[in-house]
Amino acid sequence: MSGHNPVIPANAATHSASLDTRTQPLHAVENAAALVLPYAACLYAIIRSIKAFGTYSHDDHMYIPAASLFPHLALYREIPFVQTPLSIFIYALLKLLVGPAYLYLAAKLASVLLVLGVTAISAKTAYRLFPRPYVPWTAATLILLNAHIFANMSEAANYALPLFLSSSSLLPVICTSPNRKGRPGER
Amino acid sequence: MGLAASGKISFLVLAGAVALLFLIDRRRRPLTVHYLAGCAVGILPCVYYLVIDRSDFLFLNFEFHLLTNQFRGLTFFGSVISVMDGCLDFAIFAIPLLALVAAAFILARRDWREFDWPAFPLSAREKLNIAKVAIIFVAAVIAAVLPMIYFLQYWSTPALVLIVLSVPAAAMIADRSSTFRTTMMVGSLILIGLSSAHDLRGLGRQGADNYPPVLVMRAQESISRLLGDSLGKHPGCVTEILSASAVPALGSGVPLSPGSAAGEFLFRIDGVLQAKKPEFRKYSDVTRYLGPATGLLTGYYGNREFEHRMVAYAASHGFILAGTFKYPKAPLSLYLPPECRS
Repeated sequence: MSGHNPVIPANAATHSASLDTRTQPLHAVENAAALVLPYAACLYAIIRSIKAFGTYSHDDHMYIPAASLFPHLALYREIPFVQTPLSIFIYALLKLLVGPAYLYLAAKLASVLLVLGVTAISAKTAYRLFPRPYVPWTAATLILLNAHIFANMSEAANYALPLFLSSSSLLPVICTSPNRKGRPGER
Repeated sequence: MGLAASGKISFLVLAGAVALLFLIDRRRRPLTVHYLAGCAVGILPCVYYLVIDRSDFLFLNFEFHLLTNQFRGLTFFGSVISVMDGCLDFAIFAIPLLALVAAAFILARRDWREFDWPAFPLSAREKLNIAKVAIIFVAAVIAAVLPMIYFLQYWSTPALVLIVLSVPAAAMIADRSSTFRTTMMVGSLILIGLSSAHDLRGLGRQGADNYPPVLVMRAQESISRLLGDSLGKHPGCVTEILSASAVPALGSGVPLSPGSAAGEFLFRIDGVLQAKKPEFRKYSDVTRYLGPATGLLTGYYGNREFEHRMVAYAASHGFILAGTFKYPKAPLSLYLPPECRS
């Protein structure tokens, strides 16, 4: 996102002189907002992460206990798990790393980090679609604000993982349309 | 995308949609085979279990979810209502997004002459890109409504697609207006401020949904200590723990019973399975997991029939109430076999 003037777009030179005079106070607000927004968005991500980390869900009781039984017992035949197997593999790996006593904590943290990853990928994608400095931060704000996405962040379940994996592959497909005239999103 | 489907089967719809994107784009069509090969590798864990344990895999990944809707009392019509409820909620979510963009447009109306409106008619490539976005969005909505029940989490993919596309789309149209840019940024800051204030105010409060992991771990520690004491005095008196809320029993050194693997989700549909799929009651009938050396952790789902059966079993077999532990919604009770009596 570097290499761009934080506020004034490349085509700003076409603005008329009268418009510039009229919007001078606005430019001051715009400059201030452009300066503050990235820091505010990062702080907001931290606050949302803390809130998500402290949120309790009964879904946690489905995925974490199942992972604690794997791989000692056979998945599906002996472990009745009602989703496809990837999240069990990941949580079982976490169990190996941190031990069963800290599995819940690690799984909650993993969900938060995965959704933060989704937010970062999505913000980057929005920026690639239209490279202006405020676009990724506005998109990130709206993503973190969204209740549907926040619900994935606050559960040690199997939602954050496929969301992260799909956004990693889906969003680049959206935004990498070859544009021979310039960068993606540039007209 | 294949790995995403290995995490949640409904993501197969999105994987198919992406394949369609490759197919409709003449320049990218040769890449379809590579994409499908990658998907196939990602989906291998599912294929493995489908091959070695077909009936259990299919029941637990498909039939269980449909039968759960019956447990919830959802008929087909009820399911449709649930999905419509989801659509409405999804539309409501978009209000901050639309309000932000609309405010930016309205405030910037004096600069409309300066807007860099997109050229119409659209070029073939622009039409193709719009078709691609439409395909992805429709696939994301279909994946969200499967299996015909509404939960917040299911709608995260369409929400994500909508935000990622709408913010740059609005900016593409109105970016030359300083008012628009300022409103987008100041609007974002206002949303951040309001939401942060709301979140920070709720952080100190405890409730059924707001219960920090450290408190769960405190219950975990108490249960571990109690089980350690009992096993120290009476080795082997308890060999496994059965619970529909088993997280606090983790790390105690006593393994969980396989019945604990699905939380309450299979136990609670036992009645439906008895009527429709009795061969799969092996998962849902809580009495099949009860044994003379099985410790029981109950309380969180104290209003459910399966927990009544667990408590009744404990009472009729002389189990001792070893302790109760603070937990969201209701305290947990740990029942241990009579051999653990000190």
